[in-house]
Amino acid sequence: MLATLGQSIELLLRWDIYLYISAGLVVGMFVGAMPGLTTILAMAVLLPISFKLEPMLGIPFLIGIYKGGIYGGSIPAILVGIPGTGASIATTIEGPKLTRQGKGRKALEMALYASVIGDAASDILTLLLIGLIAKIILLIGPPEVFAIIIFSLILIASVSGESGIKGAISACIGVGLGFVGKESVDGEARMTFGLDALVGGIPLIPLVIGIFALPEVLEAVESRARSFIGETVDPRKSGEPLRWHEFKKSIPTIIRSTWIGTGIGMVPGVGQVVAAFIGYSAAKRASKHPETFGKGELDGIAGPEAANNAVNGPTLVPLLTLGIPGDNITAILLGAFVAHGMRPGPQIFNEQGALVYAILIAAVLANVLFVALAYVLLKPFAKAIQLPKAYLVPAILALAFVGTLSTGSASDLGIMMVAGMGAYVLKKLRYDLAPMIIGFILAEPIELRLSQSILYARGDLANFFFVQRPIASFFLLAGIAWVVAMIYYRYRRVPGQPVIR
Amino acid sequence: MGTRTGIPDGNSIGNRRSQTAAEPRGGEAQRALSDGTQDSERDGARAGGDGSDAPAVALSAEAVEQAVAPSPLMAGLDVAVAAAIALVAATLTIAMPQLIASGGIDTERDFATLSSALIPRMAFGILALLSVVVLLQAVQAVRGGISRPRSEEGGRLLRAGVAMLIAVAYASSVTWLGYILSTMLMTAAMAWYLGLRNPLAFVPGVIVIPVTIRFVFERLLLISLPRSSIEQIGVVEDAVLRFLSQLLFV
Repeated sequence: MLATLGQSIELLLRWDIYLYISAGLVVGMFVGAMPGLTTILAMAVLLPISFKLEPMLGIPFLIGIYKGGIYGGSIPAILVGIPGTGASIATTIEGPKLTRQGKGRKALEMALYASVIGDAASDILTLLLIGLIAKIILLIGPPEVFAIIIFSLILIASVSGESGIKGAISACIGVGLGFVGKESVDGEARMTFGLDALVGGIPLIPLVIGIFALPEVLEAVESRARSFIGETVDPRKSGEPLRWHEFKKSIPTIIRSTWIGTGIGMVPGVGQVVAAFIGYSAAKRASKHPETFGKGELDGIAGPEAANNAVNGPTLVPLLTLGIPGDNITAILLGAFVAHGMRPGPQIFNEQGALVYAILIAAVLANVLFVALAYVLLKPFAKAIQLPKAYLVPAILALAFVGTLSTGSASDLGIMMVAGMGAYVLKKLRYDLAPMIIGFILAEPIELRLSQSILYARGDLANFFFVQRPIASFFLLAGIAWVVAMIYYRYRRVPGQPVIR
Repeated sequence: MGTRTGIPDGNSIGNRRSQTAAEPRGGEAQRALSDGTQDSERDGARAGGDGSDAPAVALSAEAVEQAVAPSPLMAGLDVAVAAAIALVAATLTIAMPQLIASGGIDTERDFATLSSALIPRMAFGILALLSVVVLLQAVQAVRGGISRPRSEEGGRLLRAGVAMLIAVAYASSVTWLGYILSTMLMTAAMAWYLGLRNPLAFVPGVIVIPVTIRFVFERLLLISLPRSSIEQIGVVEDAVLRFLSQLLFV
């Protein structure tokens, strides 16, 4: 273990790693700060850049975008009450009120420090625990992994959108798309419809860009508004900086929210939005002056911001130990790991332990760069949120095309366009797109693990799964129970209230 | 989840909020939903009984149902899409053995035997069943006649359709005209469509965006982008990139 850590530290002794992390943080903060754009858009469009770099540069670059994006969303949330990303919705409760009181700068700085502390602490915890979790996971076999994947997909599909059934449909479409091309067990080509471009399967990059970038471009065009926000922002009028005594009062809130975010991050599919709201509620419940919440309370910024950023590190636990992405961002990270020849799973810690630990340590160190960059860039980004769409939308579309063309195949443009149009229609009909990409990535492991389980079962699959393998049966039964509970709570009738589906 | 817990999808909230700021007279029902949801979140968070300078909004059950309900256009589209998914998924479930292009033994393609067809069939079978459930729900919503009183969705979809046409034209021309020229045309069309008419603001963006992107990706990140198949245009592109390389010592 110590030898591995030593090798990891050696890998980190390069200045260009920090340059790429900084670039990722800046891009992430910028995109996060734009209310119409999302972190996932930036990651999807810039994923090909990470493919062209070596893993020690490309993956920290994406992690930088991820971290920067989650924080960047709080800038417009505080200044104008419009969340830049979903993770910062809870911040809109206190942020604009503090800005109206002339405490915008205090709120922005509190959000920054809470974000960085929450993120760094959860990253360190992840770093310390992930090896141990991987060792435990090494003890389980294909049926258990299959059961955990199915349980995770059920969880992700049911909690990630407005309708659990639509989430499940989205996941099934993703899994179905993942079956196109050569099969992982026998190598037989399926569902290619005579197209050579599909024999190798649907490529990840055009699919990700199509699903996440194109619908955002089209949605940005839908509205006639010239920019993503209609209000004028003047960063010079944001008031005094945060004082130490003000920050000190929020330290217990930050610690509490960090634990909340860390716990939520380990569960696939739940994510930053829920963590931020729980962080806010917990801060209010623990406060000696709960009556100040809702009127402009700095603790109400620290709670959600620490919690939503603390989710970042632990989402890497199921990703790296089981190869299960908990959300669309980690699905893209999984694609990046695979493209770099790193197949996440418990074995990765034996085979490429030094590289994995180096990436995790880089994620911790990214937080130091994060404070410095964010402090300097707060004002320019606060101003940038008013950039007109007439510049941003064509630039995003041009970048989306660059990302797709970088694969070197012109047919990928067609895949990107078809995926984008389909995703736009589904998004308009309130289908969540995250389960689709997660299902696509998990299709191969699902098929491989289920095929292995069927072979082990020797014809008696039910007995094998539910009697001989208790861990697998636990996760499958938990999945079934979850589905039953979701249906029950969806259709139960509360006296005096209509059934809202 | 968003509807039940009051924690909506982040992207949609961001877009809804920006739309609200931009379109003061449109989409009341959507605004009612959006604002109502946010207020309920805030009220939920304020469970300690504090006050607020924002007025609390109490929505009646009918108002909530009306705000949640899709417009007639979207309800119809929901039915059509669910039916299409169900049909395609059912067809793929039945026809999967015929969709295996090479290899395999016929007897191994039975439904109950482990084969290349088995697991995709299971996935598409589940997809078909789920789509039928959504189809029934969508049909019920259409028959129920609950729809938003005013909707701008037709206009919004039309605007997105025009943007999609620009994107399709861009995709068709990028290998023919080359990255720089096709991106210039796309940028010009999109910027004009989004309301930018001032030539002083318009022209620099049209030139700077494609040239900067191509230069950064080709010369700094070594990701090559399509050169025009029309030689005269390709020569100009090369000259521009050479000039920028010399200027910036790259």
